[in-house]
Order: sequence, then C-alpha cells, then structure tokens
Amino acid sequence: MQRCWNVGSLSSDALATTVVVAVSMAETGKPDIASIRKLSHSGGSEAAARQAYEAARRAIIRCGADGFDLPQEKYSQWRDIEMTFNPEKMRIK
Amino acid sequence: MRSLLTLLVALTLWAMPATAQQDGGPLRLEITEGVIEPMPFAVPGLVAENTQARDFADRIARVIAADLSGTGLFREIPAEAHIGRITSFDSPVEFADWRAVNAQALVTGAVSVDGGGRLVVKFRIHDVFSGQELGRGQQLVGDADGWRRIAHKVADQVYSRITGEGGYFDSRVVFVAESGPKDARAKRLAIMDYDGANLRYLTDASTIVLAPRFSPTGDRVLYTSYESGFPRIYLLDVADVGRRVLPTLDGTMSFAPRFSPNGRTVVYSLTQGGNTDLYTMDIASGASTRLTTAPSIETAPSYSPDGSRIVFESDRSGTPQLYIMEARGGDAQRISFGQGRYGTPVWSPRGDLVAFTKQAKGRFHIGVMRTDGSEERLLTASFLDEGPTWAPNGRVIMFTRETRGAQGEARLYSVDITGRNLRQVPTASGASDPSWGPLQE
Amino acid sequence: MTYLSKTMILVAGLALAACTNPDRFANQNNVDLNGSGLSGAASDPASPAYFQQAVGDRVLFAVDQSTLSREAQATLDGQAEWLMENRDFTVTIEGHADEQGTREYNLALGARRANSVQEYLVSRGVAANRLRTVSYGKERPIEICSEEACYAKNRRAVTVLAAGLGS
Repeated sequence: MQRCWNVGSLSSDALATTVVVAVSMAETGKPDIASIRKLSHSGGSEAAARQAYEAARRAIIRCGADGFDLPQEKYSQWRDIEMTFNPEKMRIK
Repeated sequence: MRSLLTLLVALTLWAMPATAQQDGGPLRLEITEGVIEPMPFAVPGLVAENTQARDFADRIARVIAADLSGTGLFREIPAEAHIGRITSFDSPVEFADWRAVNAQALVTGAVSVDGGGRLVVKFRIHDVFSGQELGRGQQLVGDADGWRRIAHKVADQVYSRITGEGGYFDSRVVFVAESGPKDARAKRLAIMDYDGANLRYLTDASTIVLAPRFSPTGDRVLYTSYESGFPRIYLLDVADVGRRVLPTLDGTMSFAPRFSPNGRTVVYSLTQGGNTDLYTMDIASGASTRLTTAPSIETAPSYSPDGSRIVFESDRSGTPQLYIMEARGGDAQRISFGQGRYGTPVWSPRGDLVAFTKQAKGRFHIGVMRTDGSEERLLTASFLDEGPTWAPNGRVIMFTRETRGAQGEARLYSVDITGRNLRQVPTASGASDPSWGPLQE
Repeated sequence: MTYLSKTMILVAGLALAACTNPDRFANQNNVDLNGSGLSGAASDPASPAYFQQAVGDRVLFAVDQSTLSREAQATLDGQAEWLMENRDFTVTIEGHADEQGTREYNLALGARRANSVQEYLVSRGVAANRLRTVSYGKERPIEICSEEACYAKNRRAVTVLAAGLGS
C-alpha cells in the first residue's frame, strides 16, 4: 500500500490530515471500488480531508487492481477493512 | 507493496486468537508511510467545437500541461503515449485506456469561439482510477488574445482541486531586466506572466532601478530609482505606466519599499546622515511616520498579511538578523538565531512563514522559518541567491540567483517550499528582484 | 475480533523520489568633471584630474565596515586640504559595497561609508553644504571578479567633484 499511497501532490494542509477509509473486499482479494468511503478525518480542514481521502482512495484502487493475495479461508476477517492513512511522517519536516 | 499489505494482513490473521473469529468487525490497518512522487496526469488536446477554435485546442492543452508539470507535483503522460482519444466533451471517458498508461488524473476540455469572437473553454477533471469526476465541469469565457490566461485559469482549477493548495498560474511577476557587463549593467523594470510569457518593459534603461514590489491587487508597483541622482521610491501604475516619486526629504535616500496589505501605506527605508531606519508613508497624503530610531541599519521591511506586524532586517546585534515588531513601531523581537547573516525577510501570504536570504560560510541561501524563528529550513544554496518572493498561494518561492565571476549574470529561479523542484524561470535577458503579484481577477 | 482490530502500523522504507561608469548626476547646475574630458591636466594642481590622481579620490573599507583606516584618513586629509584650496567645487561622496550581501543591506552600508567620509571631511574644515552623499550599494562595482582582490576595491567611497557653488 505504501508504494501506491502517493502524497507528493498534496497540499501541506492535506499532509497534516489523517483520514480513516473503509473498503469492502471481494473474495477475489480485490477492493470493491464503490464501497470505498471516508469514515473520519482529523488534523485538517474539510477541504484538506477531501484531497487526503482522494489520495488514499487512489492508493487502495491502484494497489488492489490485481487483487491482494489474502487467505480465502479467512475471508470473513478481511472482508471489511478500515485503513487509517496517517501522513505525519511524510510531512515536511 | 501489495505483498507487504498481504503479509501484514496475513500476520494479523495468524496472530488472531481463535475466539475472535466469530466477530464480524473490520480489519484495521494504519498506513504511515507512502511515496512522494509527482502525480501522472494527461491533458489531451481540447475538442475544437468549431473551426475557429482549432488553433487554440492544442495550445491551451499545452499551457495547462506545462503549468501542472512545472509545479513538480505532477508528471505529464505525453500525447504519444495516449491510447484513449477524447473526441467529444460529453461522451463518457473510457477510463481503462487512461489507467493503461497510468494516468491518475485526466483533464478533458472543449473550446469554441462564440459569435463575439470570444473563447469559450469547458473542462472536466477526472480521477482515472476511481472513474469519477473531481468536482463539476466548468466553463470559462474570455478574449481570444487572453487564451494563455484562460489556460492558466483551467490549470489553477485542476491544481487546486487535486492538491488542495490555492492556484498561482494566472499571475504576473514584476522584475528588473538586466543587460550589459557587471560594471555597467543596464536595468529596467519589466512585467511578465509567471511563466515568462507576455513580457513588457515598464521603464527604459536610462537609470538604475531596483526591487519593484507589486501592490496587493497587482495594479501598481513600488520601486527604487536613481532617476533624480539619488535612490528614491517611485509609484508606477501598471496599466498606463505613469509614475510619480514619493515625497521624501532632500538629502536623504529612500529604498526597500513594500505595500501594506490594504495597499494604502508604504513601509520603507530612509537613510539620513548615514543612518538607515524604517518609516511608513500614507500614499494619499505623503505623510511619513518614523518606526525605528536606532544607529544600526534597519531595512527590508515586509508586512504580515493582516498588516499588524512588520518583519525586517537589522544589524543592531552586530550582524544582519531578522526582527519582528508591531506595524506602528516599538520594540522588536529577534527571530533569527542560526549561524550566518540574514536579510530580505518576506512574510508568507498564509502568515505562518517568513522567507529570507541567508549568507553563511561564503554561500547564499533562500530559506524559510516560522514567524517565531523556529523550524528554519534552507531551500537553496549557491554563490549568490537573494530576494525571495512568494507565489500567491504560499507554496512556491521565486528569487534571484547570480553566478560568480566577471561573466556573472542574474536569473530568476523558483523553488517549492519543500525545497524540491528548483527551476529557472525563462527570461529573455538577465533578470533580478522578482515580485510575484496576486492571482488575477 | 478485538485482537484483530488492534491497529497495525505499517512501516517500510520511505521511497523518496526522490570601469566604473556609475550613474553620476548631472542635475541642475552641477557638472560631473571627474570622468569627463573636462578634467584638465593632472599637472595642474587645481584640476579635478590632479585631485583624482595625485590626491586620491577614493578610500577603501574592510568587509562590512565603514570605519576609516589610517590610510583612508591620510587620503581624506589630502582631499580636505585640496577642497579648502579649491572652493569652487562641490562634492558628491559615493558609497559602494562589494557583491557579498543583499541589495538592501549594501545600499545602507554604502550610505554609512559615504557618511564616514563626509563627517571626516567636515571635521577637517570642509563646509558641510559643499558635500552630499549617495550610496550605490553593490550596483556599480569597478572590479568584476568574484574574489577578495576585486571585492577590496569595490568596498569604497569615491569623492566626486562637480563645478558648484557660484561657479
């Protein structure tokens, strides 16, 4: 996910915003794009949270395009995932 | 990285006690590391909706692409690589074609020339991987002569929608155009678009002119000229190039002017009897007020965006350092404490940072620090960098870089406040002392 | 699921994509004589050429300084003496700085240097109303290399004569 989460085109405000994103996974290991949604954000404005969320959404879609290699028998445990994208370490120091 | 997520999820599952399995709650992950890379985007030529618009379709797309690439935050997928074609503004986009070339953002548009000869440009911004439009399609109308400005406005919208920063492409820069050898350099005021296009000279080269500063609305320019034989401050109207000298005492020098945020006051340096202090002048009445009374040099003042405070340079401690005081004068707090000499502080439009020139160990730097002096970061280093000016969105800084030696020449450069994306601003000749104007209406 | 729900922190390597021809003023009735063809023969002790060459029209300063060295004071003693003898001339003292330093600071520094010279000449009896000062900061170097040898010559104050008072 790190490789796909690109914060290089985010404002400094968006880089100070943590977003929690929910996604439902298909049994194939692919994310259901329509299910991706922002659950909450903290640290930045509403506008900044929008850009931060969009970057997170791109990361999930791009890295999930071929499906994640996840254990089928435990599907019930990874069917719903909540990802917290915290850019604290990525911020301009 | 897919494998990393997989591994992590696998580890989490492995570590999970059997008892927890019946619960249907979500798997929670925290991502704290990502990459910092330019976002790949594509801007296919606009759809020309009538014959007269054909000339503009590609040119506008090129300016939009150049604006975005120039930020260093975006990377263009060149037209040769495109698989998809946009032939109609309103047809659905085949996102798979754009995903295939790894374009993450796609800008589509159409242009037509209306009955009055005006350009009508429509555009949409698409998030390719989610297949969604970012915001709503928009339409801009303007004179055909101003096609570059329309393109800049589209690019500003795209940049702003994706990054969350305010735009800065539809803006101008006033600067000093330089020619001739170092010991007899001719200088004249010039104005251009932020990207170097539409250059226009505002003064001739008959006398030395220095450090023009835009008014907050971009309609006027303050600068220093030796027209009278002595450095004095002039006020120039950008539209008609009319100018007048600001009234100052005979036998004094005045320089380093800057507008207050409301555009009605000038803060500047005045030298009398060898001593340089800070003053303000009400532009309408010409009445001056003295702000500092120290035997040291006080110069290079710059207002905070709310007009309440002034950051300036003073050598009262023995070397030039940065200080902040109330806009009406009074006690000043020193904010620069690093090794070296600090000058030409400029308050950022967002109010949180001060950009400055720093001289240390024989090198010059452009840097930024918070207004309390903390978190100093140097963005550049060279033989001679000086005179930072902020883009209207506070994300980019332009400055003068002069090369060393007898053939030394000054040019304008810009740098992102992260210190990335240093680039030269194209100018026809040598250039110095840029002042970045506001976004145009 | 409580255990599973525990936040996991993903950590991986951060993939960072990683000759001096100053603008002299020829305003009003003052005429600049130093650099022009009007300066007369250097052999004539009352000529501006003599002032320039024999007396010495400039003094140099240390980095960032505006204090006058002993050598500078000796030059200025000669200038004062000459100006007392040749009272038809007015004087503009031009202060200059080397290129190390910001434009604004150098303007102020050049003004300090010019003022040091002015005050010294007044202290040696030259009437204050014959003297005025201007700073060019780093705008008009006479030497253009970026070495101390050049910088030393650019950190200067030049006493420029003009036909003035009642002439």
